[in-house]
Amino acid sequence: MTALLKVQHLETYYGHIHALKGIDIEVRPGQLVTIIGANGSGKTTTMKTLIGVIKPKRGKIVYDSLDITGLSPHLIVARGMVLVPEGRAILTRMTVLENLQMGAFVRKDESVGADLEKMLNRFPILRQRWDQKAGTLSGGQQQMLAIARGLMARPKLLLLDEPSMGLAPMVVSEVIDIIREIRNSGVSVLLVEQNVRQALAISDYTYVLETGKVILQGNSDVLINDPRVKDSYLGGDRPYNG
Amino acid sequence: MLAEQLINGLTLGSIYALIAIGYTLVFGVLDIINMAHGEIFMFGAFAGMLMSMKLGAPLPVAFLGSVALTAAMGYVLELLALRPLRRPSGNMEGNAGLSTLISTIGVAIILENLSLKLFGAENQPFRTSFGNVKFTIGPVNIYLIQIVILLASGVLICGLALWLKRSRSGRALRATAESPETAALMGVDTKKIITTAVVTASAMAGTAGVLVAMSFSNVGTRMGVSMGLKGLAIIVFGGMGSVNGALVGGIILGMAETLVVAYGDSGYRDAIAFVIIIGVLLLKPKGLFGQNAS
Repeated sequence: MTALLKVQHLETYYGHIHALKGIDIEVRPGQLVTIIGANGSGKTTTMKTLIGVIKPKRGKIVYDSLDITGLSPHLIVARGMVLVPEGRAILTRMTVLENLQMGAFVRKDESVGADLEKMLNRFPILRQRWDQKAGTLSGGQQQMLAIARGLMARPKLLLLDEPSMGLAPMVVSEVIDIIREIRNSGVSVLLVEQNVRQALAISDYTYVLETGKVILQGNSDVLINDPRVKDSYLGGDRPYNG
Repeated sequence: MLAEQLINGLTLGSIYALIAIGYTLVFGVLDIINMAHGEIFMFGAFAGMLMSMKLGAPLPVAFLGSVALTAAMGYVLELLALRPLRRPSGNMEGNAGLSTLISTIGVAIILENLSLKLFGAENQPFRTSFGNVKFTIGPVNIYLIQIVILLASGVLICGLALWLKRSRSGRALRATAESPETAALMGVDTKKIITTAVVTASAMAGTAGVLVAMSFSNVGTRMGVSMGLKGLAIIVFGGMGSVNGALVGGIILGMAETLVVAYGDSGYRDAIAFVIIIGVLLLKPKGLFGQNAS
């Protein structure tokens, strides 16, 4: 099967910092792929480079059989690749409804209204507060809004950058459930996560990033038992006592 | 006569509001004050006057011509003085904001000198066929020109507010104002939105220029500076980036100035306005409708 997203030797600089040192990643249609790694390993930089917010220095990004390297974000989003960024990036001065409408900004089809209805059904809290400024929502609610807003674009490939960051454990499980649901609905997902155990449990394939390089990759069910992953990201073999 | 003074104040205030909303639109998307705004207003006034008086164009044509000219000036301003100083994504990082501000000051100086060269330093009369037409309703006199001003600015301001609130591109502009990067992630071409904002603001300044020229029956190259400063004061007073603030602030300033002239000492006309503004800012430092940075 041809890949939906194929990233080759991607290199990105932040000023003088060599943030990505040649990364190769692949997402096939329908796959849920996870990127894990410590802080500063280049996970968010990878996401921002893929969506076009940062321009890569070298390398190639092919999405949906199209070379999108160096394209502006709005052109990439229009082709069905959508990023729900780290920190949620809710438009706090706009209402919940307006945020969702902005999510569908690139669409011109007739079913935007129906999709809006679908989102409000899936996330009842958003229906309850549709007319309020999004800045008044709690962190967990804002994350739901951010994901729902991303889905409003009807993406083929959804990039999720640390969707569980700063959320209470119960809300994290809810977010993980939603991600699984999204994948089951046929949308391909590239997920950056700090909750390694849960991310590996729901994903098909995993890349491990360290200082701007992929140091390990493989099927998630294999990697979850890999001693290197266990030691670095799953707290070793020590029994977990809560 | 209080009713007459209130109408005068509302008329002046609606012009101030037009100017201030222009500042606010540009500040919203770029986080800078467009220091050339007042000069574009002045060019609008001259363009209207020259087309009407020298070329004999009918007033509506002169009006539209002036709006078209100032819109074009806004486009050139964005293309040559603002865009080259921005990051590609539309972000104002580092001191890009400061250099853009300086760049608009440069444009203001160029326009001021250009106007002296083109139009001369003397004030010039702008006579319209209906300059002295007035209606008397009971004891109250209303000039036709006042009705024209109130109608034109009312339609423009309501239209703009509706556009921002309800339309797809208006939402995109508000999203860009809050965060260009987030707007881009929603698929908004922020470059296009910023251009739209600068062009719209300039066209509104041009409209205000013609209206002011008609109501004072003359135009001068200095009119841009004082109007520019008042517009600035209004957006600080109303709250940076707030359209409501620009509207309410403009009308309060217009009313205050008119009432001071009518019932107090006209020498304090400009002073009293700024006294009110300082007073409000002492109580509410972010202005009447100020939003907290998010």
